[in-house]
Amino acid sequence: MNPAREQMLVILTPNWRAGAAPLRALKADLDACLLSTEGIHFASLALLPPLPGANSAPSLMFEIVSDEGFRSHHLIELLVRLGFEPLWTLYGVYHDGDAMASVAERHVWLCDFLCRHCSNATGCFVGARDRSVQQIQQENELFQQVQRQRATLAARARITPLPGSLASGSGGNSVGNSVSNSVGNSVSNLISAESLARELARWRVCQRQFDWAAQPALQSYWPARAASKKKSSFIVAVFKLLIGAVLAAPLAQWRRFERWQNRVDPVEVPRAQQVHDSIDACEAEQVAGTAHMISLTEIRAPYQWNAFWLTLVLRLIALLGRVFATQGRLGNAPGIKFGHWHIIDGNRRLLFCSNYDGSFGGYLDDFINHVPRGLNLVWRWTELQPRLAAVSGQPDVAIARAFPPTRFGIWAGVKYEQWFKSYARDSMVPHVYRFQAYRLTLADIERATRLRNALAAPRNESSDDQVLRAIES
Amino acid sequence: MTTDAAISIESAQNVAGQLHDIQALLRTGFVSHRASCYWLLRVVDVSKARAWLQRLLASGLVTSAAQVGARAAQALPAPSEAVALAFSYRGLLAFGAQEHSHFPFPSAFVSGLGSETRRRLLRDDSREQWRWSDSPQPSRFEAHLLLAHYWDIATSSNDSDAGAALAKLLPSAQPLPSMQSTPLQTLLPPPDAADSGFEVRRIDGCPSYLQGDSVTEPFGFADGIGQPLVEGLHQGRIARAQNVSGDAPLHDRLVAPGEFVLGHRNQYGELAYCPDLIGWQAQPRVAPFGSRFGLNGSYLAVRQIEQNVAAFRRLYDVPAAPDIGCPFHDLTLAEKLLGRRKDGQPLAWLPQQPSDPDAFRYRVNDPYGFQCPRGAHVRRANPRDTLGHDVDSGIESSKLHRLLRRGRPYRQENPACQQAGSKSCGEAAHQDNCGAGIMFIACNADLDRQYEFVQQRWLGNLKFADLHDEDDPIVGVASNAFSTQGLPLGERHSNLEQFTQTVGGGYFFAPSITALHFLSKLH
Repeated sequence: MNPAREQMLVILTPNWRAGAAPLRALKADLDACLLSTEGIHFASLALLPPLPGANSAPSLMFEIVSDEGFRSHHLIELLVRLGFEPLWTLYGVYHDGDAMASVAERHVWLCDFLCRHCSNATGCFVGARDRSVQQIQQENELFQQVQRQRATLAARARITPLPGSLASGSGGNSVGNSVSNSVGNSVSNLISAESLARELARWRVCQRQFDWAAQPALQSYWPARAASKKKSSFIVAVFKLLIGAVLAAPLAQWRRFERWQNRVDPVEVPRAQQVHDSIDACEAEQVAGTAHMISLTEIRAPYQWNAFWLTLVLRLIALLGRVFATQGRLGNAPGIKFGHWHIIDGNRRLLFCSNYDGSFGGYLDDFINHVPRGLNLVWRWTELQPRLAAVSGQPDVAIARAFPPTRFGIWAGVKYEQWFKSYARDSMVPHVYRFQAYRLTLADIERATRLRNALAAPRNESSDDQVLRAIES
Repeated sequence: MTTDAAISIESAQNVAGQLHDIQALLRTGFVSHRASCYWLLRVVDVSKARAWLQRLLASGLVTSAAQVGARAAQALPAPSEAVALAFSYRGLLAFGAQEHSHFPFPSAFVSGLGSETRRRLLRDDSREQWRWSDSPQPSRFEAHLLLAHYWDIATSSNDSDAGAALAKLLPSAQPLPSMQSTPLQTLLPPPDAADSGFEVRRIDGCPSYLQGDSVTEPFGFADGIGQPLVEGLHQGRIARAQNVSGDAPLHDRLVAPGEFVLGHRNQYGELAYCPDLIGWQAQPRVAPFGSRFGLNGSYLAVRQIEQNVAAFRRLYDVPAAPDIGCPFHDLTLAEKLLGRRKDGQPLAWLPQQPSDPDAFRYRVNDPYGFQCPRGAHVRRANPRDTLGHDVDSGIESSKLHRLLRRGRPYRQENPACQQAGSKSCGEAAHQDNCGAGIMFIACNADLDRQYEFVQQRWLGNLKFADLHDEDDPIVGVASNAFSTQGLPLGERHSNLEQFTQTVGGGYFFAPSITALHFLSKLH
């Protein structure tokens, strides 16, 4: 199995009748349990509305995003070992066995129950590739410490009083650059930037807690390095030019063709720009951290046939994302940390969960503009049927919506912005509980790794510059 | 998908043909009308309020886009007094409006800028200091209507002004500054507070900051430079920009009308979503076929932003640290924070002066922020080509989040300034004493995609453009840090003071002229 698909799982248990209040009450205990695993990036609990037309209670969804390499049943065993109490509080209501069962027997039952209801992602994308929770946290700590050390070094080197401190009137801690204001362009006799980078690298070597950073971060994919580009031979460059010249005209024609196929016919979209209060509240809660969305749509009839093709598409996306989208972008859409799709309820519904940087509207704009074909390929198999709210205070679907029309399956579709955004908004389900192991953007994570690699590299002009660029803000 | 009506491409509205129905604020900032004030009204008696609205519409003060602009100026003299009128969601309800269940107003507008959810979404700090908003909150005045009121100041020595017509229609504790007789007065009934049907608050503009065609904000910087050019609305400016700067820079600023005017084509090629009211479809009118109440209207995001001028002025004399290889040593930290010279010239273009101060690209002219820092105010408010994976995608992405700014400085409320204003406010020499802040007004057609996105993801984002824990140095509230990039190393300024503070705000809807008439006759 694609290891990325195993990183993202949901535990879906039907007929949850206790409402949302007990889930919120477990926050502290669940936080402690998930944190102690040291391998879970994000997790959430939500109540999924019952299937349209079904006369049943909502399902309880437990979404977990873990480090690569965890097998699902190992992760569940670990969770049960570290957080038996809160998990039993959650799932004990499903236990219809011996009420006097021992703790060990309950452990076994709980593991078995969760494994039975667990499903790995059908399709997925990982933006923060090849990084464990521990690595992300450690590299962030290194970044913070280096920032502080930079300030200390600059202060010790008697930096000329700088504007920030004058502005604040409180002797602020501005860190100077290498230029003396009084002598124009001459390099300062106080501290040079190059020596600052080298000082920082030396300081890192002396810090035993950062011994792990002596080596650059491991990457499982072939990185696109600028250096290798520089080494491209003249012949290769000429070859590329020739290929480019030959393909220029057909590519221009192709782009024109795509524009034509992506054209949208103006339609009036009822109930556009509507966001349920509970969704707004979730977004507001996460505004300074990693945003989170849960989308639940129905697969169009005939379910089995459409689910088959949808599964193929999702597996393909997981594979392409694994092999090609190695630079933290899905297509050209930035900011997605973990996105995963699950086909659930006997091939009747598609569940999508995503952890991303930014606002939901901006996230959808990125999708519309940068990965429209992939998006169309996935969601064209779905629709929104009228359904009840999972619990009071959460959104229902009062009026059915179809996914916007596509051309040849891949064009137009999401380009109907209002239609697509309304569809996406109406399909959303709020989370009731959320766990984040860290509150860092993809850019933060990438920058911290860049700093680590630059500090670990042999000292030269290029690695010095990379250190300085990483800590310039 | 259930749609009420499919509209063919051919029947999509042509904005140029609708100028008579669009409020003039969408087309002009009335810079030539140097005197201004903003009226905040709360409806207390709806029947009187409707009667007042009818009188206002009959007076002709509510100006349409067809009455302003180059073409109109050739044919007719510009109106000497003009009014733009907008309703908050609760204001529409107070007038008796009922939303159509299939075409309700957007959630953001219904929620209101003053709501707690919006405060959290927009990363605002505590709003204890807010004096007014669009939603009911204890200790704040609730504004149902916003009237932006502009009139000419005569430069003659007798200090007479055109334009007190609106004042005759509104109850006010104090007379408008610099107002005397007006030709329109005779057309209007005398003011009568008891009959008005409103509670009123007034925020006075400060004409000292408008000289000729330029606006200066109280920090002393030229303002209103980086504006989008809207197809169909700004044809004259588009033609001028094309002559001055050429096609490519023009394309960067050229935005579809549906980004600002509801019912017209937006950047996605769709017609901007129009909310509707019950009864609109049934009333006889001259509005275009298939239209809804929202057609030709626009949303206004309004913030009254108080500026700490004294604190900012302390940065005037602070030189920004120069970089090796960069010969510009005369930049001040204040200019780096704003991202422009005081005269409005962009830092990203140094050392050359661009043919047009709005015709440049960051990724092309200053990709690393060595000249205009990556976190500078103007770079956050409009990153141009900065954020895409290439120049074109950056430009296209930015165009989805443009705002048409119509704000201008307002004056302090202290008696000395008011007194000075009544005699000689309007002279540039009084700028230092009078300006309290900016009445920020941003027109847009999609509050979520435009105003809220800019506020949340660009201005208030602590991690904008790969920066670390710093938000906008001028309007941000979460951090007091600002970094300038440089070679070989930039610098980070900590403990900067807070230069601005929002003291009121709301979301308003500026309806079309037809829709205003409809509201005035609602039962």
